[in-house]
Amino acid sequence: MDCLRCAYCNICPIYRIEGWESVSPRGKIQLLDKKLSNRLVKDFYKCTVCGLCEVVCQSKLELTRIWEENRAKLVKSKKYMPAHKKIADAVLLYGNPYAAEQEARVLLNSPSNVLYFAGCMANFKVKNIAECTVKVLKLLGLEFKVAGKSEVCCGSTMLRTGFIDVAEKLFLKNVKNWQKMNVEKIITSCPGCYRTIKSNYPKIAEKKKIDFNFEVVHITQFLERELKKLDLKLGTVTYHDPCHLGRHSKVYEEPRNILKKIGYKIIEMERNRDFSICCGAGGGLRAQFPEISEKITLERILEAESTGAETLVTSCPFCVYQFSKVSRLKVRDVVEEVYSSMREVELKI
Amino acid sequence: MYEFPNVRVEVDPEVCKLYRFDLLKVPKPFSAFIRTPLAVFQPENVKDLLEILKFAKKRNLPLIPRGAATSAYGGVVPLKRSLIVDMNRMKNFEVENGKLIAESGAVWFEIERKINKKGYALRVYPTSALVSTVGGWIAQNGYGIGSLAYGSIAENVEWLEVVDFEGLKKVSGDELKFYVGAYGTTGIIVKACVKLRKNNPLGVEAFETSIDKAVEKIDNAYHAAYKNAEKKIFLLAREDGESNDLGLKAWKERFFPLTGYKSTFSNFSEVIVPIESVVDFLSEVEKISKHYQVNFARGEATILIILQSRNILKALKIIKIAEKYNGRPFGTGIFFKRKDKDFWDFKKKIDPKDLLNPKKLKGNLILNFAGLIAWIA
Ligand SMILES: Cc1cc2nc3c(=O)[nH]c(=O)nc-3n(C[C@H](O)[C@H](O)[C@H](O)COP(=O)(O)OP(=O)(O)OC[C@H]3O[C@@H](n4cnc5c(N)ncnc54)[C@H](O)[C@@H]3O)c2cc1C
Ligand code: SF4
Repeated sequence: MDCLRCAYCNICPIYRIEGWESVSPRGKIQLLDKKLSNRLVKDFYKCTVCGLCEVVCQSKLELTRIWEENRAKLVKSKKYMPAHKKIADAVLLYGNPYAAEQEARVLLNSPSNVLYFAGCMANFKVKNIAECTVKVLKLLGLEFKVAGKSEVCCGSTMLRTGFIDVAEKLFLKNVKNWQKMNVEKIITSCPGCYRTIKSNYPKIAEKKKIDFNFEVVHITQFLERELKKLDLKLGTVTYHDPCHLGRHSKVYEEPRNILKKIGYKIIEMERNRDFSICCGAGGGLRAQFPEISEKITLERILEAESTGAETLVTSCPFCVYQFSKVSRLKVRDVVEEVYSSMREVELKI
Repeated sequence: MYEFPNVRVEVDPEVCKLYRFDLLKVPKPFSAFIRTPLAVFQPENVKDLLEILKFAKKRNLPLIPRGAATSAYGGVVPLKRSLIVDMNRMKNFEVENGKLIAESGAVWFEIERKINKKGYALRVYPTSALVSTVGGWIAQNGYGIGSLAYGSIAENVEWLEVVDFEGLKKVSGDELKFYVGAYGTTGIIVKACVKLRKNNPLGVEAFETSIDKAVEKIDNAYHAAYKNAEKKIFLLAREDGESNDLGLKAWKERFFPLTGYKSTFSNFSEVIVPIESVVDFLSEVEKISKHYQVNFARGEATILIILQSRNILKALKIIKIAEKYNGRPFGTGIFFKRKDKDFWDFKKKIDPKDLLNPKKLKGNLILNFAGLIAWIA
């Protein structure tokens, strides 16, 4: 079915801020396959690829796929955004988008065939998440390893911004490394890595005729199963659904169940689950359009504050990093909460 | 080059082109009449609006107010090189003495979410409430959720603030008819005072049943709708009533009237028919399409018929059938004529040069189309 021009997708938070149809999903759909001026190209990239438009689309169009495929077409004709190109160059050269020393990545040797894939954000920017995850997995008695400097960026940002070739190169490096390390199962911290490895990697593998037999879980899926009820008398939290985990992977209840298990009361934000809005960091928006990105972040923070909850919890290092910059509320990853709760129980014992 | 008012404005022709359309799929022969706007303004207050109006008057340029452009009647489609006045930056609202006072760019469902927390609820809102605006729905005089209990939006507007070439005016009482359902041809709605109801919880039930049985059950309900799509579902919402699972699902889906049909569709026709004729009208219409949605209102029903073909003549045929049953088209906009003489006298007085959303409500496009067919023939 074609676009009906019903405008439902104009609930897009970026359109709400910018206000011009060229930024709206409805406007962009009218421009597909047309020759775009520089202005229109720039507007086309004003999108976090959060998928909210797809949830409300009356024509059931696969809008996320449409945005990603059309960004790839733009990149092919050299119409990319400078900040995205900078990330592409950095991941190829350094293995991470921050041009950081790869040695800083968490390393844990073990004969186990379970790999904890922390991802770039948790390794370099919000290290506490990676460290807490390692500690929690150890407390739960899991045998696992972490790849250290041989782990490279999963390529999620590259896939979202249209740099498919770069993402494919990163795929090859990671998959070869996992094969060498005898990995069978992968646990990720970052919903972006999770979606990329779970949904995009098998397609790249098929295209490249490479075997891909890795089981992937997000840490919240693992913890929901493995964590015992702690029933601590903790306060109130509100939970932000990260786009890659929620809308794109339909993991909504697991993180909430973990929070309830450890003893939190959840107060939902008005827009939750499939109607959650992006933290503002996704799809290369923060890198190229920081001012729009910050406005979305602020909007979400205000929504979180209005719940009256004491803490804003999410399950994504990107969201934690993004929110922490402006939030007056305490911002935590689910895993950080799990770790401190497990410690509390341990201390009581 | 024009000297534009000191207001948020876009003049890039590529961007302006995106302001040529709304939901209406303009049939091919008609697209020749559509013009690209000269500029799109986004006023943020009355001062901005007055500046735009002054500029338009001085330059003899047509103005088209625009909300979310979700209408299916081409109200925002420029039939002359025009200035678009996009109201989306004027969206503040508050509840005052139990009434809603909202700027015209406010989005219905955003209002509903906020006022519900204060113990109030909208009496009526369109099923496009997730994105459509206060000004747009009033300018189109729509029917929607709650119209069974509270009628069309016209019956729920207490006063309006509008701007035209003479300045800012407050309009109430009988004069409202010159603005409600006027598609922005007599002025730009700035603010509206709308009646609310107490946020009493609604019980929502739905059943699989036939349309004739459904019609018998609507008495005293807040809202009733019948959708003939994959299944025949009758939704009934009552204050303090019971809910069932199917009802909760249908209620959640009330914002998606265009989804759930067996096959894809290319076009639709929308009419208002007296309640007593709904069943007969639909049994005749079913020969053209079996897919439709009925929203009940006071003494009448709005009926959306989904068509598999883009053939405009089929859509017109449905309107003819509705007229046979004392019905009428749901809207006017680009296609149909507003017939009340005092409206046109008022329009002439307020806007003698036809600069406010020109060529609308005159049935022009149909005339043009008929002319085109005659010419081809
Ligand atoms: C999925 C879907 C469901 C819908 N459901 C309903 C429904 O239940 N009931 C219903 O009645 N309609 C419905 N509609 C049609 C449409 O959404 C409504 O009429 C809507 O309220 C129009 O609002 P808008 O902001 O989109 O107005 P627009 O389409 O932008 O404008 C409509 C007309 O109003 C004029 N206008 C806009 N703002 C102003 C202003 N401030 N001052 C003066 N004139 C102005 C425009 O020039 C135009 O002529 C539906 C549409 C869709 C796509
Ligand atoms: S929601 Fe879907 S059908 Fe409606 S305008 Fe957006 S893309 Fe088109």
